[in-house]
Amino acid sequence: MIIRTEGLTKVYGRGKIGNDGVSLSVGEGHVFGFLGPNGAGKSTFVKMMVGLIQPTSGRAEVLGQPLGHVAMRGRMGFLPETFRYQAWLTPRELLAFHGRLLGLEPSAVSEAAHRVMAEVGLAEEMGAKIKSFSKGMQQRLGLACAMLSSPRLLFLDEPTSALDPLGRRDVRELLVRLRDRGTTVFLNSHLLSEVEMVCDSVAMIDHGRVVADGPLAELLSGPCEVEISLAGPWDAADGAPLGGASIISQTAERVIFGLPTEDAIPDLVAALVAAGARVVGVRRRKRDLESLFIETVGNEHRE
Amino acid sequence: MSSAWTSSAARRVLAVAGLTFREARRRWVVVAAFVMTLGYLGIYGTGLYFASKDIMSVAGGTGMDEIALKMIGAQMLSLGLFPSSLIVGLVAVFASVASISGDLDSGVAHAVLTRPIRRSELVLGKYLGLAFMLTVYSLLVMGAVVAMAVGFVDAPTDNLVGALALFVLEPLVLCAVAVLGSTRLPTLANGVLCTALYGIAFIGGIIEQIGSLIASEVMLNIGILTSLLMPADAIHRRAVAELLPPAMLLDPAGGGVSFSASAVPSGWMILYAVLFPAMMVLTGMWVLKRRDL
Ligand SMILES: Nc1ncnc2c1ncn2[C@@H]1O[C@H](COP(=O)(O)OP(=O)(O)O)[C@@H](O)[C@H]1O
Ligand SMILES: [Mg+2]
Repeated sequence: MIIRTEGLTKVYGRGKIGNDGVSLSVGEGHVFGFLGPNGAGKSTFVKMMVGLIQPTSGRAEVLGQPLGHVAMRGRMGFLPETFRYQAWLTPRELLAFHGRLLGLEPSAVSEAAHRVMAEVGLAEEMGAKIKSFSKGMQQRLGLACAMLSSPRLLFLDEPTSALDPLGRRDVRELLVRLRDRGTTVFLNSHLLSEVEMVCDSVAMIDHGRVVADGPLAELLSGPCEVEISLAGPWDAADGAPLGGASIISQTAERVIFGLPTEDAIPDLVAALVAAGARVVGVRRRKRDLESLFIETVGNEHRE
Repeated sequence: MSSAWTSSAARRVLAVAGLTFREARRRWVVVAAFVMTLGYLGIYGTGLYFASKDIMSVAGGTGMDEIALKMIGAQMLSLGLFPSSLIVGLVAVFASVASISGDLDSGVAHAVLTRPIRRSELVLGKYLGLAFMLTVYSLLVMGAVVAMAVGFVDAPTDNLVGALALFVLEPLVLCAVAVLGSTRLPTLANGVLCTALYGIAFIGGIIEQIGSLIASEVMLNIGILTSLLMPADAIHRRAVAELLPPAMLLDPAGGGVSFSASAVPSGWMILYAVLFPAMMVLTGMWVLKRRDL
């Protein structure tokens, strides 16, 4: 496990809770999605991981070291949610400065700088002033800066907040490339589809507490819904044994069943046919992150 | 701690110091101060030039003696020292008040402090970068004032090197306090606090001088206490005394010790003032290390 926390809690001033007993494990080489509505505590968790804030209680290990270990940060990259860089520098100067903080040789820095700038599509902007950059370009630069040290572990806090759909796709592709190279990516996001497309594992957080966590495939398995279209009416009271299925809604020609697992679908269809129902269509309603999110976090309105 | 880590710590401190120096040169307060300083030096120099012509003509007519001329030169120099060190002091404060807090507000510090750099290294690097700029700047300004006074009105100078060292120390003290404040306070509050401290030190200095004139123990102690809180003014008075020992400032008309030269701070106070920036910077490191960013 590249990150392991136990009961990590952060209470801010005046009793405001940032994280409440967060226990997470992140495996090496994964793209890990940390999901939650605004104010749920995602940034709080990442700031504790990178040593910007101190946990109130709980334990944590990152890259095999306790929090706040200084040298370990050389193997870690971080894109802050409120990314800002010295606007009066050029990317070349900024990356050279960060390279010196990382203890890299000047030639190695220059090479790494070109590599990461090309990776985020800013190769041409090496000598432009950062203050002339659009918000989206600054976010790309932030990604480049976070990747400068070829980190083993990369924390990205809402890395696509300033990007348009094309920019978001670029970042998704970048994350996949990073994973293929063995980098572990910890991705904070409230964009469910984004997480669903790239993450292997996810955790959901709400009001500072983890409400769900596990491999994405596992979380999305489990109870499912099937929509069955019928030619002509069919009455559930006919007594067909429905297995574990329950009827969620029913109209004259369409019934929606809830099933404990997807494996139960063929038996349900067989039972219906045996009972004389004229089945013309079976459609599995895929459980996606959004429905899971709404189930677990709830539909309440928030900021 | 391995020596490799120590030497790379030095490299990180220097990286921060270099960037801080480059950034300070670009700050509008520093640029504005630079322009103002040039203006001030221009006015002072012009004043000295015309004063020197008048003195020459008067001296030529009356046959004024050498000692009296020296005393006038000394008075002219002492006149120029306070405003220039005030300007240098204010530049020191305003160049430094945002040193850490500004980066924390903008978010620049978050990207920096998640690198393998200790927070103490950031504080030290910021201080050294600013201190370097202020050393160069104060040497130029105070050096120009002394040079013009010597050149135009033949002002006497006693311990020139010692005095210049103290004139450099003064902004370094103010800078250290401002850097410490910026590890905890918002920029504006820090600016107000540092300026107020500077003002209190100045008033404390006046109280101490009056105390020394009327031999009031209480007033002397108030002065010493404010100097302990902020030694900038004590350094200034000692620097003036090094450059122009009180005897040089005796009124040529006889009697009366010049105001600014009385109550010269002791060697102990100067030792304290030399250690003071280090204490402030160390405290700043400690404060920043403990806080949430
Ligand atoms: N510096 C702070 N002081 C006080 N409360 C804070 C601070 N930072 C965050 N919080 C609170 O902690 C909670 C979690 O915030 P955050 O971690 O930023 O959420 P997210 O990143 O998921 O949007 C929120 O209620 C927020 O108001
Ligand atoms: Mg956040």
